[in-house]
Amino acid sequence: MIETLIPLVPILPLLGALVLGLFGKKIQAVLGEAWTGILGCTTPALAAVIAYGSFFELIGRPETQRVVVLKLASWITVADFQVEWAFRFDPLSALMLMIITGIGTLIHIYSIGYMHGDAGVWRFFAYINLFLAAMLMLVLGDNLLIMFLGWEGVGLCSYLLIGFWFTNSDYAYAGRKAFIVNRIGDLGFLTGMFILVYLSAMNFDLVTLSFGELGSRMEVFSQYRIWGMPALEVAAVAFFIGAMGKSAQIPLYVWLPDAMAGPTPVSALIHAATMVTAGVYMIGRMYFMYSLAPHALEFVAIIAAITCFFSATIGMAQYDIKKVLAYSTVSQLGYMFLAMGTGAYSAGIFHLLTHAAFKASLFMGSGAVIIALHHEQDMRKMGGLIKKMPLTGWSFVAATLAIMGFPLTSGFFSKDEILEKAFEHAPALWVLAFAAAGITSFYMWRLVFMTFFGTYRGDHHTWDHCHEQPKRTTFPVAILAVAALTLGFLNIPDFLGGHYNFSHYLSPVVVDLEGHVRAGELLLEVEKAAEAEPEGSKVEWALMIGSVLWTLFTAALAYFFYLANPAKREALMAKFLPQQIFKVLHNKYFVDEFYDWALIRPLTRLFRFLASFDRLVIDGAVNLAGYLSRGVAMLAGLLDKGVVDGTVNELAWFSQTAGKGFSLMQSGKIQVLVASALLLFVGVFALLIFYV
Amino acid sequence: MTLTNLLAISTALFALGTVMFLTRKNSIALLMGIELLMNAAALNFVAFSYYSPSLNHPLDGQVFALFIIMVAVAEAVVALGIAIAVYKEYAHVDADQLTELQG
Amino acid sequence: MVQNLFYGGFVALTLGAGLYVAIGQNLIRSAFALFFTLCGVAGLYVLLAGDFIAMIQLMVYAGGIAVLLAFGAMLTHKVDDPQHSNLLVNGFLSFISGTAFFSLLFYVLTESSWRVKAEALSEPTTKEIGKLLLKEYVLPFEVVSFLLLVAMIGAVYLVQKGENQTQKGDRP
Repeated sequence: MIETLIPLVPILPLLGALVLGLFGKKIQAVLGEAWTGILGCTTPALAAVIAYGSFFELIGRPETQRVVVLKLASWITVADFQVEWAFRFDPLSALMLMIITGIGTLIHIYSIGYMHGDAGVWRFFAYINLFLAAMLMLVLGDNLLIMFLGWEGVGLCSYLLIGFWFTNSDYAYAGRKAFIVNRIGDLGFLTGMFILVYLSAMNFDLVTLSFGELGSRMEVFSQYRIWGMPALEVAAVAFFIGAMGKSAQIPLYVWLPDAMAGPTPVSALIHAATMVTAGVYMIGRMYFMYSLAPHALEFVAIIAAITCFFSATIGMAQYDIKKVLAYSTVSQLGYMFLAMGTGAYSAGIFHLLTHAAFKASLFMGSGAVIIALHHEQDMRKMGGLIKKMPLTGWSFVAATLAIMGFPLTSGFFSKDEILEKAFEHAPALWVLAFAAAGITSFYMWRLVFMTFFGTYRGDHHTWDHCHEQPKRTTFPVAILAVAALTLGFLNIPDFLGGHYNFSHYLSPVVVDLEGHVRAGELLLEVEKAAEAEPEGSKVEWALMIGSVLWTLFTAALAYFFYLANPAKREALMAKFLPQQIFKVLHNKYFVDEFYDWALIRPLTRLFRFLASFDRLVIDGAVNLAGYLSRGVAMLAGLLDKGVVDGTVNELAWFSQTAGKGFSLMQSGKIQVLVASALLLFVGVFALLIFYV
Repeated sequence: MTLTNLLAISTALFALGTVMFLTRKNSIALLMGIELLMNAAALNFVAFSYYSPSLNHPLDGQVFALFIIMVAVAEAVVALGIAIAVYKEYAHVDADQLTELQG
Repeated sequence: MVQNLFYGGFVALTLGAGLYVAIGQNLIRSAFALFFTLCGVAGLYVLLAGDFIAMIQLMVYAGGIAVLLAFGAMLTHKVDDPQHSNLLVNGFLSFISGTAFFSLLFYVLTESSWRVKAEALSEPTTKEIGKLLLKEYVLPFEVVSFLLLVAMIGAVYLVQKGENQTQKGDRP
């Protein structure tokens, strides 16, 4: 079944996207909005059925046969460079398929309710189906090029969906911002890919990009150096820059909070559960390379810990319900990369899974609230909603318990494992991550208390009309909330009497770094070592209890500040928290302003300057030279008509021509641009030929 | 008649096409330049297929030249259609005066 | 010997006519020169054992596109001012970039050693190309036929649309 049906998983949503994209307008006009939605839901649902069926077949197989590579067709064959259309179905991609199709289907169903009454429902479902197809391609691809195809595809769909309501120029701007920031990351991804191609071409007859082959070549590559640095370190950092863009890490995270301009199901699916985790998945997929690049991993871990902490602090001071969740997503992605950076790949992937569940649930819950309050997103105008929307509210609380890491929920297991790894690796990283865990718990409970508890602070009209959303909207939220509570039991650590089932499951594809290895062949050794060192589990217990107490403390703090005694909070804030600090946090450390000041404005100014230089200086100089020389010529003509006149006219002609020549550079005429490009090309190639 | 010789001819043709593309105002003339470029490329394919045939099949290069001709036909037809439509609208076909889309 | 003679003739035809196309000031004459360039290239194809491709070049390029372009030139340029129908602009810059481009490529291709295998035999290629097109390259072949269809419809639509607008505009 795997061999025959897996290719259908990305193809089905692609078909859905094609049908809806080409005929959607007609379909919506003829069959109505509901049927358009149902049509949009069928293909992801079918893909989900196939994905789950294949998963159960896969775990039925013996461990050595759990990696299935399906070669469908050859794509590029140029001499010794070969790329194939090949899919790789192994425990890692099976897991990702289940996350994407499962959550994807739920979110599609939720969207029918959320997008109700929008004229562009067909467009929405076409885009989001296309997104699923691209994301599944990214995950299933057996080589870097197919992965890159999916990588770009999800970027495109993200852009289309963020700017879904493109008539609002702010939203369209947010879409463009996401697109451009992601291109910076893509440059990193491409650079990494080129380095690997280069290394292959230098050392082997056949250039390949498939993960299996690359994995077996890494030993050879690790001997190689480029630009005076180990080649694999450079490639690993380049790939991580790609991941920074896609997965919103410092300094390329700025697009994600703005991406909340899109419809909420999009935020839930693309900007929380799936697309933004593509970077984490990519590092998991390329773990064989990162394992040989310890310095790159160090870099990943440091960036991740900083991202994790800083975005959490920003989250504390936001009032927009979706912005809080967006910064929380950035922070949680930081946790995943922290796990990757400390070599605990399976822990990172596990957090990816649990985060997908609870964050999708949180986003969809907030979407239900936003719809119920007629598109109100400001938490200061909410409160007490649990009376009106009990199912949404309690699901939201359950998901919040999971994200704060309340004992026995999914976040508890996944986050504690990461914290423990970080502590073993470097206590400094642990301090940042530990602080972020407490802050997470604080701002999440702040969100819950401000939204669902206390008294309502908006106007009465909205309150009277507010009601629980229909079942098709609330059920996905509730299902994911249940998943968020229970998924943790998949990976109970040793010292709690479990067996790390999840890490075992991933061991055929992802083996954690030595020293942290629990999976695969080294399992027995490490288990013995753990028995020999009881202090190890003592540290684990201490860390676990510590983080539980710390998160409970900050949750209590949030309760005290935002529910029990808001007046006291105002007083305390006035006393201990200078207004400036809050302002800095609320304005996200002014990073957007910094980018605006450091990059955008200077560039705009440069362009304006060039344009005005063209207009004023060059034209002016030309005219002035003309007038001057004419004046001088007239004067001189009185003295010496024959000789001087001619020279001066010649001079005037010269300056005029020069001015024209320079102003051509600014004219924006296509042919001049092509000629310049051609000259540049010739220059670069001449340099390459004669000097390299 | 050697490979280098033929490649030089194709390069010359390509350079002529480029110069034409760069110097003309009239969009029909631009089109002619592009036809020269395409011919240069096709000539390259055929020359290589003669002197250094592909391992796959000796006529691969000629088939590609054939595809180039077909694509050139499609391109010429559409571009001329555009040129005529533009002429009807503006009574000229000067490429650098068509700036309506610049906003 | 005879082959070299023909070769020289075709090269002269191609490049001479090509030069006129590129720098001629009269658009109509350029269009006719283009016709001769294309014929010269077809001749080169014949010498390179490409009989089928040469025929296609003659029929489609020389017979079709060049004539089409000539018609296009006649339909659109100002008939009362044939001398200035094909002005040169940016002459200096273009001359520099064109020459630089050519000399660079020329340098590269004379300096590099090309792998030359045995010259292919001059035997009829039509049957083999037919087989290739319908076996190995059947998908690109179909795609190209679809492209041609689309181009045809598009061209008709474009021209017709312009016609309707002018008619509307013409009405008082």
